[in-house]
Amino acid sequence: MTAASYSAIIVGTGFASSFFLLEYLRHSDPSARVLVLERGGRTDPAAILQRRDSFDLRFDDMIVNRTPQKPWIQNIAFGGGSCWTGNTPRMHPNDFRTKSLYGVGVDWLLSYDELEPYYARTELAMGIAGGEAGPFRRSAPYPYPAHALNAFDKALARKYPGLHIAFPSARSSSVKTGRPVFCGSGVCSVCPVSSKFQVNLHLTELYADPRVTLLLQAEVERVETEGGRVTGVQYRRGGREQRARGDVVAVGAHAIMTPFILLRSGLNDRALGRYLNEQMSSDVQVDLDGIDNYGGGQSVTGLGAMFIDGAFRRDRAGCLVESWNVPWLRAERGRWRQRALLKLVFEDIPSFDNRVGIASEDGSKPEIHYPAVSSYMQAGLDSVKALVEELLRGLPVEGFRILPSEGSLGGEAHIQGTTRMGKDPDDSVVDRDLRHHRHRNLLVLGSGTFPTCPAANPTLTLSALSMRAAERLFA
Amino acid sequence: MGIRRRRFLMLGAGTAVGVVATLGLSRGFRGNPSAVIVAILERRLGYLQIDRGSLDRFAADYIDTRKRFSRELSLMSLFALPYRYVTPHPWLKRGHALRRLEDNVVSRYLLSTDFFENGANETRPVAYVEFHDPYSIACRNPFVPRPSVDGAPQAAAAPRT
Repeated sequence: MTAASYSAIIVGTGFASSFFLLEYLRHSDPSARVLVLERGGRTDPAAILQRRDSFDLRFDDMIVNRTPQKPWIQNIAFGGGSCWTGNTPRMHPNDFRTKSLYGVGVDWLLSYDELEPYYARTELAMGIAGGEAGPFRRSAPYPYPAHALNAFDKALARKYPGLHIAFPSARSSSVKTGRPVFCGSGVCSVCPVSSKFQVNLHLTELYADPRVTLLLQAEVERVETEGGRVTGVQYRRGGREQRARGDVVAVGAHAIMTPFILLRSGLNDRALGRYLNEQMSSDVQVDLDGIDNYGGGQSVTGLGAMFIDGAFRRDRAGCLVESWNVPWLRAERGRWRQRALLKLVFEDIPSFDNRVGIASEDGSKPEIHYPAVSSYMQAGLDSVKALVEELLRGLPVEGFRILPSEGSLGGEAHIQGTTRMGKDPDDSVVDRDLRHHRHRNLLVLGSGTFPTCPAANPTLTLSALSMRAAERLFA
Repeated sequence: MGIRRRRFLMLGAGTAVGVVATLGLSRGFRGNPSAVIVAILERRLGYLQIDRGSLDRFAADYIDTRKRFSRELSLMSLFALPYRYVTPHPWLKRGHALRRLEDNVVSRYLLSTDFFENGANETRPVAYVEFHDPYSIACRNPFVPRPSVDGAPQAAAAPRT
């Protein structure tokens, strides 16, 4: 049987693939045909709430984890990262130039200012709530007003003007987004009222476009190549192996499955699957003195940029400070709300040795090696006590406690780096337009293309990169 | 004389604990986990105007969400009566499981009532509204600003007086 032909084949339906599709369709004529293949299925919101998690398929069963002390969290379903909580900070402008500025990591092939217009367009599409720009310079205001800061945030904002700001987020602050306003449930990964922007709920019209054929429960096994170009994909659905041909193939199956698919396809880039990384964090519980907290307008109210950037980055990882607003009460009479929770999220320098490969005992699964975080990040984690002391100095605080990490390497579920962008094909997989160095009609989407591990949550950046990559196809 | 008396009391307490623990570890033992929860609340929130029925309802709801700890809570129920009056909480390290249990019970109870909607006013009777579980019942956070009719955020509801 002859394989069906498409203008483009997109693998995955997460944020990277969906924002690529959004921009691709904007430029395509009515005759375009796009095939979208998603391994997962549609999630049942009621079942998710009952289970208290958004994971329909157990990701642990899909991988061989050679270093089980490091867990990996990933959602395989229509809409992809629906388990996200909705935080949408931009990367710091200097995150794009850490090699030039501080001699660490590598410089991105794009600057902040080159990506900025796509940040703005992505924020508009997601309906992001935000206020003061802080160090993240902007060409336009946020599309929707910022959520209210809580009392502790206000104290931090007074101490750090311009560096402690309302956390930009996809949690709705206005009915004009078309979504309910955030109401304080505080379980954002399974948002019970659909206030948070989600692909599976709020981009359904995109997938209903007559030019799009969406196939769920379709597992792409490999991309097919011929004469230096990709010609299509081979996938399995309903127990049958099937093929589709495409002029362009874009793979956005996240930073573990994407390199796995490409490795199974016979691509042998030296950096493919390498430089696997994600941020690590440290939680800090703060007892306040006379401040009644928790009156902010969303689950994570404050973004502290005071420790993201500076000369210290020559020696240790920078971090972003999240100020949480979920009512974990202080169980003391009359002081119920006099507590705050901070999360310090640290960047890393990706290591070539942390990698995704094909499991030797089961070629249908990726294997993951992640023996350790870098000494650079560890130096950052070791500085938490000093950073928090500095952060809280002069504020009405009784004390703080760094919460234990429960014995695992943890992680932020922001998996990155395995299909990194770069100039040198010997040490990268894609170029600045997310095109594969050798197969020029193959695009690789998502946070796997990040050449560094910035402290910022990656969803906004990877979505902006996808929009840019789709636009560049038609340039 | 004081030291001998203290030793005698400790010996007695230790014997009692041993007897009770033996009973508890015996097969077929069925304690009353709710008794522990009620004991914690009566001790920690005894200064509030709370009716006993409200505590029992909350305790039942709380136990229902903690089925995987039912054995431990059943064992603890053997000590529910003394637990109503004494607790090791002040001497335990922060993060200790027992300390976290007590704090969680107290916090969860207050969030399940109208206490914070009434501005944490200790002179007002406290009514149990519904078990605080954001996965089951959305939008019951008493501290978050409420959206107005047109959707713009406004301050949290002013406490009723």
